[in-house]
Amino acid sequence: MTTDAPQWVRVTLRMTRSALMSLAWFWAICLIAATVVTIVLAWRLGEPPFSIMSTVRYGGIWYPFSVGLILVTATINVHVAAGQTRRSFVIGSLLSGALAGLLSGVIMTVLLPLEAEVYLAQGWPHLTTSAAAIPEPWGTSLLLHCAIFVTGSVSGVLVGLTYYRWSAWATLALPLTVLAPVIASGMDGRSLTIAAIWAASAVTAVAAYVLARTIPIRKPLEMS
Amino acid sequence: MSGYAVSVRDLTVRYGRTTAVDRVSFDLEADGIYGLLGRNGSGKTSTLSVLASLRRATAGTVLVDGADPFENEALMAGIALIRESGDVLANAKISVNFDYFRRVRPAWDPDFAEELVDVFGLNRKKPISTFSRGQKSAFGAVIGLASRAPLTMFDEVYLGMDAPSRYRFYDLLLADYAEHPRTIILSSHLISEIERLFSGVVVIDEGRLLLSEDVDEFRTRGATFTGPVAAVDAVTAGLRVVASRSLGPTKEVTVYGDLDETTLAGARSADIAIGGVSVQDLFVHLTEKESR
Amino acid sequence: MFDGREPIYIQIADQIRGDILAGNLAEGEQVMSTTQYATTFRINPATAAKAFAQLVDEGVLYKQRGVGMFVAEGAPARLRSDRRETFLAERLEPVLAEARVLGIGSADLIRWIERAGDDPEQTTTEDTTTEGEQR
Repeated sequence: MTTDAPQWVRVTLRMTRSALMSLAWFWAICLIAATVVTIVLAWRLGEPPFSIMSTVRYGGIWYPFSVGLILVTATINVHVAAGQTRRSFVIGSLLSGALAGLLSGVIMTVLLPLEAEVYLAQGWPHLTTSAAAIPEPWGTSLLLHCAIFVTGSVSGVLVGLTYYRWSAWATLALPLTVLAPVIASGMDGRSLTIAAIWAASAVTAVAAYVLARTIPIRKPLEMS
Repeated sequence: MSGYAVSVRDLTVRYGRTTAVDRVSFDLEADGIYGLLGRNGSGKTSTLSVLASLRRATAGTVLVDGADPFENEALMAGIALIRESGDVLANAKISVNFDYFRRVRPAWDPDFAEELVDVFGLNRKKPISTFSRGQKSAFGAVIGLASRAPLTMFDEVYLGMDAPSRYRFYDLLLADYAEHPRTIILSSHLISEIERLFSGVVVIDEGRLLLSEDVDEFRTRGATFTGPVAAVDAVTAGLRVVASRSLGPTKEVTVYGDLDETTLAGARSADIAIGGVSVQDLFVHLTEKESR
Repeated sequence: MFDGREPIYIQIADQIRGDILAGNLAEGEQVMSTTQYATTFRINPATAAKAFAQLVDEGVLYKQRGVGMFVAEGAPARLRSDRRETFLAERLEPVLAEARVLGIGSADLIRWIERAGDDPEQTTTEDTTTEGEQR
């Protein structure tokens, strides 16, 4: 037993393990789907109209968001009732989501140029939809893609906590709690926007931490 | 590991404008089985929730083993509150739950947990969410017992169980408590089955503390006087009468309070039968009186 | 069981004394452990322990470390003589006082007792059982 390590470390490790599991599923499904879609589009239209991998980034925002939301609403009562602190819960939720997000950001940063290579070899244009961009220097790309994958998860944790705390009233706070991922979904690739995503995510994480520390653990919703 | 002492001072819990617990104070010595008694909505669950760090007190203090348990990592690991609704991984099987609790409860006994599953006849192959209400309650009892937390609280969990399971639970609780003494609080409004398990009782009504006493003291304070109406009236004049009923010329009066030898001797010489009162009856009489 | 007004530990101690007097528990015989007693009768182990401690103090039971508790040698005899004393002092004395008030003379009382006590064997056993049940 690793009872020597602080509780937040143990909880973060445990949660990261399951976050990586869910991440593996996410990427497996995305890669298969992206390949199939690319082949189908190339076959029907002659060439894919835009980079399929770049559209996976929207999933990169909203999939971790729902994972974070479900994690919070389904397990905070079990965690605290089993004698663990809210502190370790919220740190574990945020850090495990962030670690998985960073890893996904790296994967996406690597995959996009690879996809571009494939498109180039086939003579297809490597475009993106609407205002979304694939920023050029790889450093900027990494910052953007890490932000994209981290922000959804962090926001999901905050939205989950807000709903757990205030139920339906939490809807009023929705514009604020999802601000960071909404900014991220612009994906215009400008440095200012990237900085704004990171700043909004940091504020979201702090808000989640503060909210979690005193949250009352109610009776579970399902009462049979 | 032995049990934690509990000290509650002027505890107040409010939900908006509703006051669930109103300046309640009591102390529980380490190692004992205590009854937290109160009618539905009397504030039992709120009190236990603060002790278990599930919510913060609106005012007042709660000390477990001499410290505030709220967000206290070391203390919380040794405090377990089992609620009837069950705070378990509902979509997982028993083994997954046990794996989880083994890692978070320092005194978790895996063999005991498996033994309890057999005793209650729970299905190891299905997720907890598919269990009946009684089976869910039993599973809560399993988690609560096998955690061996120095402060273990059961909030009416046994109400969902059928009679045989309830008695199995009482027997297991007693046997395990005898081997591993700790502080156990059982909250209930149905007391007759468990009143002899208690070493002390805390009675709350409408958020207020009615009494907190050693169980023997509590019982000896209650008495029934049965005899001729006039004689019974004479003896019980000036005593705190919590219930009375007349059967023609005979009257039975239940009193609560310190009874001195003179009163008792007076009653005996007046041909009045003195009887005991169960904790259940005393509780019912006291809370009826208070809510009027 | 244990419905009286006295603390439960006193009722338990009385019950064990009654068992020894009635011969259900013989001299030198092992009695149930506190835990066994507590689980059998569903009472708090501390309550049972208190009752046993009282009986050990009185010399009715003795403890053998690591083995358990046993009925002391001579315990039944000692209990019987104690009970006799309390019977005379606490039961018979009030009856005699009442008789005096009602003007029933000793001769009348003795006649009654002799008539009721035709079979001394039966009377003594009945005495102990009714006493035990009343507790």
